[in-house]
Amino acid sequence: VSEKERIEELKNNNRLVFNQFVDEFRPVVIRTCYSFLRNNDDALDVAQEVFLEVYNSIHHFRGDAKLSTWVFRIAVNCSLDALRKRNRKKRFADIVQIFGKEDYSVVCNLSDYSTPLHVVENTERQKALDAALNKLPETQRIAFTLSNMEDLSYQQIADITGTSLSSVESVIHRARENLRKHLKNYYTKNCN
Amino acid sequence: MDKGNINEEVNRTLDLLKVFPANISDNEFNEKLWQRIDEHKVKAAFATLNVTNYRKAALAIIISLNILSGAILLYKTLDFSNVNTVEQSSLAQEYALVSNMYNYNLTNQNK
Repeated sequence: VSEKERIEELKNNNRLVFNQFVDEFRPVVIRTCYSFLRNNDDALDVAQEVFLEVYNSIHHFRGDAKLSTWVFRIAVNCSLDALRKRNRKKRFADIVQIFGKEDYSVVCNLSDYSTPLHVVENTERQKALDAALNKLPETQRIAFTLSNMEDLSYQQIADITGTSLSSVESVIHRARENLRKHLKNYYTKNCN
Repeated sequence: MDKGNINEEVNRTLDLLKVFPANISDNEFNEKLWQRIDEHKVKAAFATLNVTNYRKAALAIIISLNILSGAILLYKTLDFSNVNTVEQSSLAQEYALVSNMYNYNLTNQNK
């Protein structure tokens, strides 16, 4: 089946074709969401939102980009929305803590670092990494996060973000440098 | 912590970027996804309804109890010829929603 035929079937709400589409893209969508959110449950939840969005918006897909590029864009947008929501939740928890009403921080932190790997020994590193990633400008964060997924080339990242190949290369380079700088600052501050 | 240790710690932290979750059960994911899509369809259908909240509540009960065929029979059997035009329009909307949901469920069962 050609991509064009597949898109037509998806637009006709063909359940079988949609299931095949989900089966094909599920691993890569979950990995994309996880790359941004760094939490299993959140990644699965947002991956479902991505496919729901695909199901609802496929009628508006004009076919200017490849279907996979369009899906990645949705995955990035949904993940960033979820990150913003999470950060708002954390800020609210911090404010509540300052005023000493109730300790909501436990609720937030446990849900954010709940994978066994994190719980055992990497919770502190995960926190440092999240803090450093949060400090990156959004364009750097998006390009850098996507570059960590081995499935994507720089050209594909350029297509997803709608920028040039050279711009993607320099943004990723700057993101890597900034991330190292933020992490070094974090460990210097917290370990002395 | 000296400079060498900090660099090592930075590298270990960056290694976390290469950790990805194990694949989850395909069926579980797809099942939940279809549940979500169905819920979304019902919500979207409800959003277009121009009837009172009481009637929306009644329709929600009909859908959640899956007594759609009974409801369709009721709409077909009862005589609504005496009701005014506003009421007729509400009834037509409700009937369309119920029968769409019924047909949708039927199609999904057959796939």
